[in-house]
Amino acid sequence: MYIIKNAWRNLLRAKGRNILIGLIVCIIALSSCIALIIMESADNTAKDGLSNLNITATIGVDREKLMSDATKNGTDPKDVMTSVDPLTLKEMKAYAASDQVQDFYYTLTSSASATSSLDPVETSGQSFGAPSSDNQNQGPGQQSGSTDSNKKFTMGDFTLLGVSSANAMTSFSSGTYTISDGAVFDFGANNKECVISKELATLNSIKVGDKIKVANPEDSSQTFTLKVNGIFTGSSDSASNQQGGGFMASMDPSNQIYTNYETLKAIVASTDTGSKMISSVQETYVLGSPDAYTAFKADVAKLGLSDEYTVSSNDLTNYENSLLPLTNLKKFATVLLALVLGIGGVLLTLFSIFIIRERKYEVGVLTAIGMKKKNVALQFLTEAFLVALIGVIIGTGIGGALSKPVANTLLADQISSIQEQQTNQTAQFGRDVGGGPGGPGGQATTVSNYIDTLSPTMDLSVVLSLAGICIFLSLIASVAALVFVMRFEPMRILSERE
Amino acid sequence: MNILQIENLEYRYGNGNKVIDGLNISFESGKMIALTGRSGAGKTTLVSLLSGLTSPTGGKILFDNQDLTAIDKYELRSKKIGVIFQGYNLLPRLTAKENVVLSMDVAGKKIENREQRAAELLEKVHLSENLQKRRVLKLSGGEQQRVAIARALSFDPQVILADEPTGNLDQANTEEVLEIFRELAREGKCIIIATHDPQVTDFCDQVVHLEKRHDIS
Repeated sequence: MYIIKNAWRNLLRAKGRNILIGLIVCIIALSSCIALIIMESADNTAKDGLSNLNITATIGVDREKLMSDATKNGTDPKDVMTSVDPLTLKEMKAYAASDQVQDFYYTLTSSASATSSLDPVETSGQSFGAPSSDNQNQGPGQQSGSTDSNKKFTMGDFTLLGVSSANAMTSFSSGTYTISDGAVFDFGANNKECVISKELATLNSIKVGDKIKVANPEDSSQTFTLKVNGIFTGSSDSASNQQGGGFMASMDPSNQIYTNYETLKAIVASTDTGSKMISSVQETYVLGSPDAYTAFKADVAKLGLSDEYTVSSNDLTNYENSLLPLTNLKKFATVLLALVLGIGGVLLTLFSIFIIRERKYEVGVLTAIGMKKKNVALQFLTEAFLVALIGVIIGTGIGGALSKPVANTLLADQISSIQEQQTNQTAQFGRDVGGGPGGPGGQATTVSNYIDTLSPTMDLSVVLSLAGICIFLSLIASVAALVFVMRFEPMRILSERE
Repeated sequence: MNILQIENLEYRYGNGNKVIDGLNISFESGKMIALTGRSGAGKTTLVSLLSGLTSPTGGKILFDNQDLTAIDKYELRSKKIGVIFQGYNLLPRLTAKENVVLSMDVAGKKIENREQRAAELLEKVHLSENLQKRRVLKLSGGEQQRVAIARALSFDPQVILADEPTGNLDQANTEEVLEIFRELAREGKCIIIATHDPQVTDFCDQVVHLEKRHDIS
């Protein structure tokens, strides 16, 4: 008890020295507190976001692996790529049997050409000279999903989307498009009904109930009639974002025609072998949680999915990309913490060596009157701990209050730095080439919905870490004195003084 | 009864100089013993050896018939032997009273109302209440010496080792301190005083004169 009393008394009687130590500790604690809170809240935000994420997945050909295998085996990558067929709908449905799958839907995508009664909506930058029907391009969805063939084909003016259920119309369920007139078609049977965009309807003076005619891009003499069951509107932002830089009219959302899967399947099936319409199926497995996603990967492997295919999730990839500023901020906070503790530790050690001369006599007197070395060491440690505790409490208080504005300012800096990088890249390439991986249609994606707000709070783990820092700083601040106490005999200290 | 016994004691400095050689003395309880000798004769060294602050290079010291090497030196200084250092060795940041109380705290003996006992001891060595509250750094040499004496008495030791305890005191104060020592001796304590002062020597029951040695072996 007298050790604590003596330590406290020394603390008050050597104000200058202790205020200086306390100030150093306070600055270390303040910076550490901010760094720890940022690290903790970055982790929590990422975890919370992930747990709230409704993950969907697709299965596609693992091109990366195929390329790698081709390089290893010295085979032609083109041959390897064409040797693996996309999954059939039957196979897709088989994998949907996994217990992890909450919902399963798919979309058949194809292309159609304009007819005399239906003109496509003109898109900016489309004036490439050649008629749209002559555009030789890769078909939609060729990156993944099931396609009829890998040959070159003619790109039409419209994109036909045959959806299996309402859930497959993600642009509608997300609110990007809204049915403004009429209603969506039934999904069950080949009813030859469709919904079209308001722009397309206005351009061609089409009303709900009218019939439209589209042609096979491979053979314009083959036409197909669909009844317009509804007209949808969408935001101009979404349209401009999705039109592929204005290269293809069919990529313009205004030129997308939605029908059900059975209708489009029947249309594709009705085309002749020589002029077969190219189509592909893109499936979506709704899995929910990240754990379910991991389990689904294991399930499909058990169900026989070859390693030439891979399960991927754009939701997860996009989410991981959206965490980039947060990850950078966490890295910054970790470096800051290490630097502060390192530099602070060195400063405190130097200071403790500097003041040892003053304390040397004290050690000599205390041991000369019979105070055991371990008790002298304990008293010095208690003094250092009390100073560190006061410094840490004040530093933590200020750090806790400053953590939110500091964290959000730093996060905003990280975001603007990344966005600036993207802007520069866009300027250099003349268009957005995207920072992230390609989407299902092979489109590059640039993440713009970064997590931009942190709600830093001090939880138990931060408090425990700060307590650890407090003990660490106490040891550092008293290490020279402790070494001295343990090494020297009282008579030597006192005789040196005399 | 012999409380301290020195048998064939030898002490050499690190450079090999022998300062004490073949010393045999017995110190009895209830007596005042003066250690005299010229400067460098080994008076202070003997005080250090007897208090366990220094270890002998030869021979042995018995405290209450127990070899000093077998006794915890810290226990010895905090509970059994009170040392009054020539340079006082007080803690400058503490007040006179706090220095005395700290000594009792370190001893850990059951002493009721340590503050009051410290005040009584300091009054005994004629340190006023006002001076008791002052930090020792602000006290004169004589006042500090009196605080050192009070501290040595604070835990009621069996032996008091004093190195020039009256060096900074005037004659009146010296007499008073010697009277205190006499009283303690009457209580059965052994008082060993290293001194040059003939007044002190005359007051003691026994005088041990140390000869200065110059040999290097």
